[in-house]
Amino acid sequence: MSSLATVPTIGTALMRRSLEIPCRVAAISGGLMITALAIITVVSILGRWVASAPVLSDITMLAWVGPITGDYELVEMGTAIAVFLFLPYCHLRGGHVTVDLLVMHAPAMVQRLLAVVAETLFLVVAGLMTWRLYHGLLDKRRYMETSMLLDIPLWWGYIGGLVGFALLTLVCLYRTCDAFTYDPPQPDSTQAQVKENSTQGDL
Amino acid sequence: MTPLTLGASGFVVLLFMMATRIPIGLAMLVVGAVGMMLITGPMGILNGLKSLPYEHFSSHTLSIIPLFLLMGQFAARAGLSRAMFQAANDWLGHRRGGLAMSTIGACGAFGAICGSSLATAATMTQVALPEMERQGYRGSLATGALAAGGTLGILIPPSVVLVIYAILAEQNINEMFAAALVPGLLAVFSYMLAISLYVRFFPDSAPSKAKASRGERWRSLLEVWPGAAIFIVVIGGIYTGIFTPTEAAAVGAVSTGALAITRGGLRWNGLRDCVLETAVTSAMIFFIVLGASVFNSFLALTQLPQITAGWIVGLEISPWVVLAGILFCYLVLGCFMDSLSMILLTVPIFLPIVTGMDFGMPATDVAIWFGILALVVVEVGMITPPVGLNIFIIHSMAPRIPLTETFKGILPFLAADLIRIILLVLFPAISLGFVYLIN
Repeated sequence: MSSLATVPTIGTALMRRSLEIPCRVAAISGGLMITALAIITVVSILGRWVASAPVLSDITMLAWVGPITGDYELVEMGTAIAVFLFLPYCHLRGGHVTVDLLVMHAPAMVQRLLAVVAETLFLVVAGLMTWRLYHGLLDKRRYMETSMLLDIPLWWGYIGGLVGFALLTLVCLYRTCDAFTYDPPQPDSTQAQVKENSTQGDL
Repeated sequence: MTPLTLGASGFVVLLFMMATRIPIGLAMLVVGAVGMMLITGPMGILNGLKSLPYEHFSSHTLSIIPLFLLMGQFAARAGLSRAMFQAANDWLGHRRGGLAMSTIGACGAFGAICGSSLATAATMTQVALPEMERQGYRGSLATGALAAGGTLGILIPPSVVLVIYAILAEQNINEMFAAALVPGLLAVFSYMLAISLYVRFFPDSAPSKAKASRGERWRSLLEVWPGAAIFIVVIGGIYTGIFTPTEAAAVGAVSTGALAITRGGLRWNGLRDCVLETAVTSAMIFFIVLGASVFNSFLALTQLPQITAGWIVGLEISPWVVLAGILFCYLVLGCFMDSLSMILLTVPIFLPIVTGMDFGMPATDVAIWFGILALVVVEVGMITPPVGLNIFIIHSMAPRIPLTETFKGILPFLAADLIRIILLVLFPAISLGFVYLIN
């Protein structure tokens, strides 16, 4: 532990605890949505296959079987909502990729300053995007845009976006407060490097 | 300021912001948005931001990514990695260094159902490292083989980075996956060759063991049939055009999921972990893609990529020298950045240069070939110091083997990589042959 390390204030600890559950719930519901989309797509493929297979398609009992109408639309809208819901949890876990090498050996004060700058910038951008998405939602609702086949109103998808970005903004707020007490990983300990590196870019 | 100088200074500001540990996606988003604001005024970008995130996140092509990531998570919990290692070991284990070769083989097999390098390295480390240590393998050879084997995850289709490249370069995902197959197999082969040469020089680094009987061999090979079946259905389906890539990814996710439940004992807690890991990585990727797309629209407005490409093509340097220069750039960048950010940052600049030059092939072929080259070179960054992510993930799982040992162990594989890159550059047919075959 560096001498600069300060115990996180009770305030930020409380923020973290109250954000943890909503972020996890959002991420898990997004993930279950992706799982559901995968299943819908597979069912649709099976339906398409039965409907076009030579013998099966002649059976009258199976006449109703076919590809799911609008499965593409569902996948598109579902993926968008899911990804929006993933964003807050990802940021809470510090999952975004950064270039660490160049500042890893800078003095702790410099690193803390950079962390404050980065988190503040993220906060401003997230806030701005939440505001813009809200207006995007209003636009889509005003013009009543719907998806092609299923007539799903597009603004439903924007609600997912708004929830995701609003929660992300709160996470950014927490991380900005937290950055003021940022304790940089010790450059000489590989354990710290691993911790930094293993959280990013699971590719 | 002319748009061109604006574009160039935007690039410099972006590099500076990234160097100060601002998340890469965020830096690209901010520089791109501010740059566009300076060119077209604030209203354009403010209006654009209303719908831009939704339009990007709802792209049908990008929906492959969470599906492939989920598939990889399920695959890691399907209990297949152990069976794959066992099968490879029964076939190769009796050779000197056979266990390390088996690791490479199993990594390749696992890479065929997983699109990520780190996940492959992490999964195979759990299975293969204890076995190699038990048999008295030198630590450097064991971790070196695992780190190198991990990179097979990204090269052998399905591959997440290749999907991103295909979108950026406006290439067919099917063709990109087809182009990666033979270079992937070549990688498996060259790594095995590297091991067999290494153990010839250092015989005490790897003891050999008794040969498995013929019956055992076939029995263990039979054990891995679900993995083989999934690969054939998913990738075969893409190659033959039965599925779109997104559909194939959905089939892959559902089938590995079913396997994880029946064979790997996946229950709610495991599913939750799979989903949360998928969430973090998907969000990370989509956020960078969003930032990169804003930044690239800005660059396109300034015409920087076209003008740079025109200038370099006009210099009349040999295309091969330019290509070598670009690949060298990737090797250097790989010391600082992860593969995906590198591809997103550089392809819009490098691709017009490469396709603008005369390699004696149509431009589409050059784009496919360059994608494979870039992918292979970028992956070298995953296993070289100072930021070799594969090496760090293995080290975090087995801290008892010092990092310096692993870096030493990686050298034979790096040599194999360099030779492979040269082969891929000299013989584009290695990448393009299979593409022509399926068309």
